[in-house]
Amino acid sequence: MDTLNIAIVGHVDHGKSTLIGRLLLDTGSLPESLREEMSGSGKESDLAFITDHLEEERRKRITIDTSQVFFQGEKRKFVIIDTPGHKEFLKNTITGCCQADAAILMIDAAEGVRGQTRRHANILSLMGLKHIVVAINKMDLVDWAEGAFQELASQAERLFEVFGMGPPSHILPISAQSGENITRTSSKMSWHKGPSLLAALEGLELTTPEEKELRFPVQGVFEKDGEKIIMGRIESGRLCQGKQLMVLPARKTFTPEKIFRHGEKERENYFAGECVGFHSTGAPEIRRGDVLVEEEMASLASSLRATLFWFGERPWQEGEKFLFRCATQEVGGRIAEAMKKIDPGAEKTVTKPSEAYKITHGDFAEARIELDRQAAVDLFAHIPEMGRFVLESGGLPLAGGIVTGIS
Amino acid sequence: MMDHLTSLENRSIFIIREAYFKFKNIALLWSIGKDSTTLLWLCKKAFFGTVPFPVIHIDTGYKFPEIYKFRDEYARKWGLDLIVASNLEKIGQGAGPEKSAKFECCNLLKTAPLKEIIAARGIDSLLVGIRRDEHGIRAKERYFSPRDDTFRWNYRDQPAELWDQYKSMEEENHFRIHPLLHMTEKDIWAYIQREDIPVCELYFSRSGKRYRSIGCAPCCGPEDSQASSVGEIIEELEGSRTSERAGRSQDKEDVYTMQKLRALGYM
Ligand SMILES: Nc1nc2c(ncn2[C@@H]2O[C@H](COP(=O)(O)OP(=O)(O)O)[C@@H](O)[C@H]2O)c(=O)[nH]1
Ligand SMILES: [Mg+2]
Repeated sequence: MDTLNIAIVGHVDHGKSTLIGRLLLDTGSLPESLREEMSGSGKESDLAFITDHLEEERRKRITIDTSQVFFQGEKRKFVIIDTPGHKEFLKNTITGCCQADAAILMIDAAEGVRGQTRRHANILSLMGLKHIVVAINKMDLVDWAEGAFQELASQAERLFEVFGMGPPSHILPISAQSGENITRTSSKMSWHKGPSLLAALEGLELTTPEEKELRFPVQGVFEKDGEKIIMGRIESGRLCQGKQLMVLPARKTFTPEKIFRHGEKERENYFAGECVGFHSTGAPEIRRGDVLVEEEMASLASSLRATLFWFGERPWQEGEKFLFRCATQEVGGRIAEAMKKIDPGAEKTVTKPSEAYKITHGDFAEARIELDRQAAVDLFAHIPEMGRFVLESGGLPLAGGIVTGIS
Repeated sequence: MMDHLTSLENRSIFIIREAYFKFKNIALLWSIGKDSTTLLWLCKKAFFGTVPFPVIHIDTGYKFPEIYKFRDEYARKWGLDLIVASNLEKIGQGAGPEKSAKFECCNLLKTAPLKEIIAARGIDSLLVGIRRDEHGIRAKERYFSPRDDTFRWNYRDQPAELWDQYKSMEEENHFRIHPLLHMTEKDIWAYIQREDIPVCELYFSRSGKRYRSIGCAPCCGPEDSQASSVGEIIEELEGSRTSERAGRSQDKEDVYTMQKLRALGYM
């Protein structure tokens, strides 16, 4: 049984939190204590309270921070990630989206596509999420009408086209509040020939990404019984016993004596996602932030093109220095040039350089980044794990970015 | 494809190591319960058989005898650098759940000694075995969670966490590190079974009752259960919908008690 991490995104009040409550309730996954608690708070019917758990959230009836709930379907386990729809909580929405393999984009049938619908669709597209289900919610408000649904479905399709995303996996009419077309198809919308939302989620086919070149960012060097052990997690490719490796950025080669995991028999190969270690005997000096690769295949770069999304509260100040963090690498850098700025919420693209320089909360931008030294990075489209980064200032993350070009 | 438990394990080990290499003075908070014992086990795995930092037990003086026995046995077996911290003065004055509201008692006997030991030892990061599925408030936690001098958890404004880039730099009092956040109660038991991790005997049924969550004796009630092995506990959980903290009295005082306790630095 596999696990699907799925984020629910969309504009404020389009029904994201209610949908999560509904899914838990109708699949019988709601723990007794939560039921008790909901009646204790006097709002038994408020499904959003299951994830809107902070006192402030309940009082204001909004979602402030992202949260995760778990339930088991028939074919797979689900981790459902609720996210806030308010633009001011964007960093929390992004935090949630980063942990997802798939997403549900909620659109209120009465309101249609709004500012945060667009912004969230853009974020999902940038993060490379392949599986996006569009849920047209509150169908009760449009009398369960097929015509209204079709109109909204084509709005959604246009949105996906604009952002250059593939078509959504499904577009489904639902009502989160009354539970129509959530766990079973609805008699109120017999014109809908597609699956219920849950059936659609159970059916999403997750493909294992094809194996890429080895990327092994070093997490640190640990001393045990006077011996040094190099530790890290394989981000892509495989680590094979007895194969020569190259340390980046120093470009020195060596062959690790033996690669191992604690408490397990040694294996010939270790794969992406595995945390492993090896003794430093015979290795050149290796530090946290070095990246081990096989042969000279990694792209070392100190200048790169990227799409940024800015979630810091303050705008970018021209010329300011950042800490560029990619895997375990931390390198000083700056935005050397901002070519284009997009405000997806306002459907506004600015290419004039003077305007483009004002990158601010919620903006997307195409930019050139200059680093103080070479770092091992890849195109996001090739090896996502090594093609995404965070820009930090004073310990505070301000923007995320994906690498679109290396020079 | 990596199996479910292996992938959870790797994620936890990655986070434990990130914390270890990012901070100067890390420690683990060991309640002796199944989660923090699993966390301890994962730390041993992350560092090839050793736990290279102190392990703190906050002793309220109200723990079950089985807890002390388990603690001392495995502290010795695993060669732990165990620190027992308690608010001796308040315990001496008779502080306890009978005397005060649970909220105050937890604050006095758990949070206060924790503050003291963190200050005394200059601890900058604390590994804590909480999970998202335990409570609606915990579902909102970050992997690296900053706490200020008053230990406040600023849940209104948590740092962004993208792609395993965790905040660690700002001048905070300390960080709570939560490597088990993504595991559920069922995952924990399945992992305990797979790894054969020893757990305190209170979890297993004796005369028809067992503890699902262990802590201070006056505030934890056992549940009806026949499950007397890890396998039987897993089977029982498959059919259960009550929450594991159902036997915990501090959660019952007020819907927001957990939020208030956490905001004040409770684990
Ligand atoms: N009429 C109607 N209202 C709904 C439906 N789903 C959610 N709502 C209401 O929409 C409001 C916002 O829901 P919420 O889940 O908090 O939205 P979120 O901001 O996207 O999380 C609440 O008052 C819900 O009761 C629905 O299917 N039909
Ligand atoms: Mg919400």
